[in-house]
Amino acid sequence: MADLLEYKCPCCAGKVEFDPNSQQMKCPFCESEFTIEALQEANGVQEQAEDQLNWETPTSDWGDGETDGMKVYTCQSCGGQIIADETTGASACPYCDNPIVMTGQFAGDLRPDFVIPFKFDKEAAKKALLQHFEGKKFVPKVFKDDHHIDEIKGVYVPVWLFDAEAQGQFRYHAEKVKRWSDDRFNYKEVSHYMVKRAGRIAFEQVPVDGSTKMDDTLMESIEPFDFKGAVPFQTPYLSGYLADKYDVTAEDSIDRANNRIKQSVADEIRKTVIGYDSVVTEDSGIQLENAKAKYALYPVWLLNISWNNEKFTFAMNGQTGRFVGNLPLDKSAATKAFCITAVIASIIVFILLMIFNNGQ
Amino acid sequence: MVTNILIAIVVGIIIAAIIIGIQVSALKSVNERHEASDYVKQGSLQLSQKTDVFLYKKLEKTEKPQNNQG
Repeated sequence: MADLLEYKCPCCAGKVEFDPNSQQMKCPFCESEFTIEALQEANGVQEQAEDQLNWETPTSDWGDGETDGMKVYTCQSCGGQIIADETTGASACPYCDNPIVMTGQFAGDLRPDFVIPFKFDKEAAKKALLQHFEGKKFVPKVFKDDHHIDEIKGVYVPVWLFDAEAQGQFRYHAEKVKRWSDDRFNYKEVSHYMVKRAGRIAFEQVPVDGSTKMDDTLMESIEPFDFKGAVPFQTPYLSGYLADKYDVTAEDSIDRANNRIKQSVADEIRKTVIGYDSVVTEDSGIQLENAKAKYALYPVWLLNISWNNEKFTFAMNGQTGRFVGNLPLDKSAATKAFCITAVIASIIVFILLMIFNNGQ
Repeated sequence: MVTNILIAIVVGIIIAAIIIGIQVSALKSVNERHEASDYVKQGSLQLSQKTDVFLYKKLEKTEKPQNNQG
């Protein structure tokens, strides 16, 4: 660490000087005293090191004859290209519900490294959808009755999976508070600490949605996917399902993975700061290295419902069964319920207050 | 009497807002993920530095309200 000429007081940021009387560093503004070691720790600067990102991206090609049974279907409305068995009965785009037409033989592009096969079938997906509606208030009745649950589709969504090692350095300001009282006074003693942590953590298979048509937030909502259930990709797995082609490159997906990884590094290292009443992060540096990207297909059951000129998409994790989807709010039903609840609650509170006041 | 009515109305509105608020928020299940905690390699966390340095103490004294008798 470079030698600093000037040390800042951790308490009031004034310039701290050596006090010969106490033989310690003393701040002339707030009168706090520190050891030299404590000051050096407090004034230490986090060096911002660079990310060591040498991303290895997948380059595996299709084998001979592997793509024979795969056809490309183009959506008339959103222009998306779906891949499916030539025998597939699908005729509607899983993302926008408009008709798709077979436009040709599938060829080229990257071959996925892995696939997580569907663990839940269509019946299970339909059951999960109905359960999702159960118990939810203020959903317009018409919406709940008028849906095409049979049109729920199994789609393999292309994802980029990122492995990385991360290093993090953090500096925190922490406090311990002691309170006690005697006959005349209440006492509060706050002890201030400079806390530093540095460490490394490894991440595996952080997924980033590789399709612009699959909403990233929706895909993240049905996580996590368990990579232990993944198998090396083979074409027969696609049979009966639709597969999407990736249209976001690994390079473009990296930022999303990086942001999530960096947040987790901060969270995990923060967990090692224990025994304090309050902790505030003052400075941090995170670097990623040894990054690898793999291409995989993850299973998702998808359903679109259009209502009131809005599109509602529901998704179920085809491996774990987790079901998500925002439901529309019937504003008038909610307002009515609010008014009735407010009136009833007010009456009850009023009666209680009258009883309480009369009882006194 | 009037105070009671006003309190009852305000508390009633707050209670209703909480109840209805909970029911409405149950409609939303799609959320972005800001972290990758599910993908941390188990046991891979290695701390290379762990320092906790005491800086200084501050003591606050507040006088307790004295009940004067007589």
